[in-house]
Amino acid sequence: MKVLIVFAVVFGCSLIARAEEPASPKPAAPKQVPEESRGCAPEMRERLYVLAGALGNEGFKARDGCWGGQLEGAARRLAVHLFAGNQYWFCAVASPEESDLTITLTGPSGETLGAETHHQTGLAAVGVTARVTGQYFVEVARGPSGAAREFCLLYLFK
Amino acid sequence: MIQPNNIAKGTALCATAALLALASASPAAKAEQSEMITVPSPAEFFAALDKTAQPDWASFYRDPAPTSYSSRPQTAVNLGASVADGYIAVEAQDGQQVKNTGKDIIALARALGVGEHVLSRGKSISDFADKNDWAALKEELEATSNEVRAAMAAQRDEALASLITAGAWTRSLQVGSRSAELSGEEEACELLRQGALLSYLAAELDRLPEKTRTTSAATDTRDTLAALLQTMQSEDHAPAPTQAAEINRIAAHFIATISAKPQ
Repeated sequence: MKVLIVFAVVFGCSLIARAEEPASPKPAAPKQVPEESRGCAPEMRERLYVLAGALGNEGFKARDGCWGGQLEGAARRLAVHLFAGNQYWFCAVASPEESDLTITLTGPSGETLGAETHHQTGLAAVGVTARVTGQYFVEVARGPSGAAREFCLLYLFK
Repeated sequence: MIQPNNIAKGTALCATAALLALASASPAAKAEQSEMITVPSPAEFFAALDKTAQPDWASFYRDPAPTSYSSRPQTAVNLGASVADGYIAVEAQDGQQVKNTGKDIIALARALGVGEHVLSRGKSISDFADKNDWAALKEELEATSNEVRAAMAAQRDEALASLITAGAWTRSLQVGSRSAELSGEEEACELLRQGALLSYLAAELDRLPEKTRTTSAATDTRDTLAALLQTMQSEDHAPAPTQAAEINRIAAHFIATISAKPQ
């Protein structure tokens, strides 16, 4: 619940900031920003790092690097290895920013997971505490509007 | 490095797997259908270990290893192992050990011809170690490793990047398995359920160019991954402490052998 509040506060504030100061948005960047995250447009990375910075305050550590690509029909799928006992957040942003996307996490046995999820215009996130160690699958897809063209995904752990 | 289908990776944490239709729902099929696979950082593994086994991280230090080898593949594996050593030192919250390991990483990166790319990282590692900023150090170590890999990719030396990853992971497993064995906790042994990950790392080595794949460093690494996989063959349940001991024996033997100078 605390993390969901973080989502609401960070993105609520960042949207307000953009509305009031369109010329100079200054997101609170995390301590370290990956210098080379290919496949993600700088604007999308920036939105992700705002979130990573906020989750960092909750003790989550962002992986160095994000993953991006086109969203054309079928979901994009990534295999990730998670460790039992760790908490994870998988966060994705969409482009254009006004579009929507979905993010789904599947466990090693094929079960859909995500004790905490967050959907907002231009953003989707799913959080989980891994119960077993193994290979999990993250799927990113267009949301109901079908307008999302690209995504950029980052995951964090603690 | 743009990956197929415009899926791209951020630095060098991940690699492309098979690009197949997304039809079946079984986990095994999903693994094959995944467009990308991410290799976790040792920090993730160690964070989970810390919760269950509460290891005495400093007890896992090893004697200083050489920082120059005649073979580039051997250098790459040892660079990976040194990166894992860096994470161990961070877990132990030992600033001096972090700095020592950072120097080794830079020296090994130099031997691979990419030292200039990470010199500033070495300075940052030293600065963060002086400030006891352990969280920043974990990020810096991952970034350093990724920059080495990216620089090697830019030099069309991607093959060695796979060996760095394998070296880092085998050293991490050496420590993780010993820690699990010592704790005797089922939750700690559960963390050694890494068959899918090791299969991926082994497959990456199988894809190396023949010139690299047939070096003794690469074949030893591949054989070690195969032996570890054999020990972890059941994904249905967590390895028992006896299996953790066997994993440790295999990984420790490999790390000792690969870090010995004559190869």
